[in-house]
Order: sequence, then C-alpha cells, then structure tokens
Amino acid sequence: MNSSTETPIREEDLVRYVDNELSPQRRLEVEAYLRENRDAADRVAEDRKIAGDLKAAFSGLPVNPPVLAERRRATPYPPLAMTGAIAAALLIGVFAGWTLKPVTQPPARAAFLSDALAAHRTFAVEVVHPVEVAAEDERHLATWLGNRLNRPFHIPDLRVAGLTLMGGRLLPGAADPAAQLMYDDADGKRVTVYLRRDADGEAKFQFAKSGPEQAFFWSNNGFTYAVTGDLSRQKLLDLANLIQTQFDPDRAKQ
Amino acid sequence: MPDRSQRLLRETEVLHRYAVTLTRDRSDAEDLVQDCMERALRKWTLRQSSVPLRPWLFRMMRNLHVSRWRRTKKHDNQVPLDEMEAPPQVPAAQEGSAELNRLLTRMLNLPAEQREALHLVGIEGCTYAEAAEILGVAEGTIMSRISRARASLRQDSSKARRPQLRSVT
Repeated sequence: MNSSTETPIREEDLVRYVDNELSPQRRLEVEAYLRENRDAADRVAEDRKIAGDLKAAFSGLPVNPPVLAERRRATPYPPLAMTGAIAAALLIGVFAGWTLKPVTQPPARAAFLSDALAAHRTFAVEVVHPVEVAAEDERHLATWLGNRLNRPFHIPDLRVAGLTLMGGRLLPGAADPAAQLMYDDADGKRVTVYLRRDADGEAKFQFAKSGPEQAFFWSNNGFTYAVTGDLSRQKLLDLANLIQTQFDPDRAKQ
Repeated sequence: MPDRSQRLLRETEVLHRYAVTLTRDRSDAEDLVQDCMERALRKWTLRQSSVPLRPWLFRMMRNLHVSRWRRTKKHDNQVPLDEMEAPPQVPAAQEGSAELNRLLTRMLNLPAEQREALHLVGIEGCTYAEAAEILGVAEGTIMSRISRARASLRQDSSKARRPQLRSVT
C-alpha cells in the first residue's frame, strides 16, 4: 500500500481510536501514525489513562440499593377483544372527518387554550404531585370529576396508544371548574387532557402550538377539550381522535 | 413480578453512575434512580421486547431528569461542584482516592452534554451509535462532544500534576 494516498490522520481519528470506533483498516493506519508521532501517542495514552481512572472513580461510588415494591395495576389490561374495539373506535375517529384550521383563535378559544396549556406546563413537570388523585383510584377519580363537572365522566383509556393513566386533578376555570387527566408513555413523556364546560365551539379538531408543547382541541356537547404534549402532530391527532371517541356520551352508554 | 424487579435491580449500579453524571449530587442521584426504577416497573409491559433494557432505562432516566430539573441551573456546570449539597465522592478507602476525586470533580464540571456523551461511551462502553440514539443526536455530535470533553480533562490533568510534582521535591 502506498502511504502517500492515505487520508491524513485527523483529530476525529484519535478520538475514535481511543473508543474503538475505527474500521480495522483505519485502526492500522492510526497505529502506524502513532508509532511515528510521539506527541499524538502521548496524548492517546493520556486519554486512555483518564478513561481508566474515570471508570475506577465511578465504580468506587457507594450505592444504596433502591427499594422496589411493585404496585398492582388499578385495572388489568383489557382483553384482546376490547383492545380491538378501541382500535376500531380509533379508526372510526380518523375517518369521521376533521380539518385543520389556521391558528388564529377567537378570544373565547384563546382563553381556553391558554388555561389548558398553562395547566399542562404547570403539572407535566411536577415530580412529587403530578396528579391530585392517582390512577390507583381511577373509579373515585371518575366519580369525583363527574360530580364536579356535572356530567357523566368516563376516563379515556389510551393504552392502545402506549399511554398509561397517571391520574387527574380538578382546576379552577372561568365559570365552572376544569379537569385535567395526565398520562405518560414508556419513556416517561407526559400528555395531558384538559376539559371544561364552555360555550359551543367547533367540533372539528384544531391545532395550537406554544413552545415545545402542541395541542389539539375541539368542542362537543357543551364541553371543550384539549390534548397537549410534546409529541408529533400526527401522534397528537391520533390521540385526539381516540379521546373524542371515548368521551362521546352516546358511545359511552354502549 | 419478582423477575422484573430482579432484572431492574441488577442495573442499579449502572443507573446510579448515570444519575451521578446527570445530577452531580449524591442525594439527587439516589432519588433519580428510585424514580426511574419505579417508573420502569410500571412501564415494563409497554416496553417492546425488541428494545434492549439498558438504553431504555437510560432514556427514561434522562427524560425524568430533564422534566424534573429543566427549570433549575443546579445540575448544569454553572454551579461549581464543591457548592453542591452532596458532591459525589470516591471513598477514602479506595486506592488513589484523592486523585480519582480530583478527576471526578473535573469530569462533573464539564458542560452537561459533554459529560453525558463521555459517560455513556467512556464509562458504560456504549458505541457512538448507541449513545447517539440515547441522547437523540447525530453520531458525529457524540464524537465532537467526547473530543471536547477529553481535551479539557487532558488540559486540567497536566495543570493538576504540576503542583503535585513540586510538592514531592
């Protein structure tokens, strides 16, 4: 091999060499280079020494083992048939028809949205008290929110979309109180559903965005709903469909 | 199921090390490990079987950490480590603990993104591709973060060595 045709050894190669991230061929070239360049060889040796010392330092840190008590799920996973029904409902929702509107909202919607987004921002980062009533008390949560919102209340099951219920809380609203439900996914990303009695708005899904949070909102039977999260627009829209279908009182009676 | 708990508990040390790098504080690190383990148990059934456990846990821990601390500067390198409430320390019984502690302090004073990349690759042995996936950045970004992290550690270590040599003579 003619060494003059080789790509010169660069910073990147030296970094990758230490981490074993080079192809076998490139590795040989770096090794040849190191034999002739004392400074580079010293530097690599030093990086390796630091890497070894760091490992030693971290492995010496004392660890207290965490205490793990597996909590029982409040509700068992739905049987396959029910999962199918939820998936079917999701599909119906998708085809039931929606349009996206530009983000200019009439003032009434703007107030609703800013409340929903503020509630999301406040509680989605909360570690100790993310919810007022936890998912373990799902039945109590549904009854309580139903009484305070003065409507039959059924908590949407979003497990088919990979989200589990964390719980919910009641929040002050302009005239009537509002409810917030919180869910999280396998990676711990949180999604909130916010609803309150509100003047009749559009039944269509509308989109809003504020910082990293995106929301879809819609109205139905005198209530306005928002689903908010740091998720892709499509994923949120799928959730909005799923939630709308499950909140539909006609469907809930079935 | 006890089986799950056991598999998780086997990851305790790995998670604790990463929590130390994320939080730079002993008690915060312990809380983070506890939260992450509890969440992992609850989310166990949502993890697809094709997803390897460790990267899944790293991602979960990182999300927890970000959502918990995004409003504080506490865990960024803007607060010097010795001003933290409980800076992580190598026990004095360990050989060379003084020198290791100095290195640990310098590492934990690196910018968060550099120490995270250095941690996953240098301490946990992740490939650049695995680290990129966990941190949600490109592979080249991992390489350049590690490059910068190593450059500052090297510089610091040659600085730190000089006074030590003087004290020997």
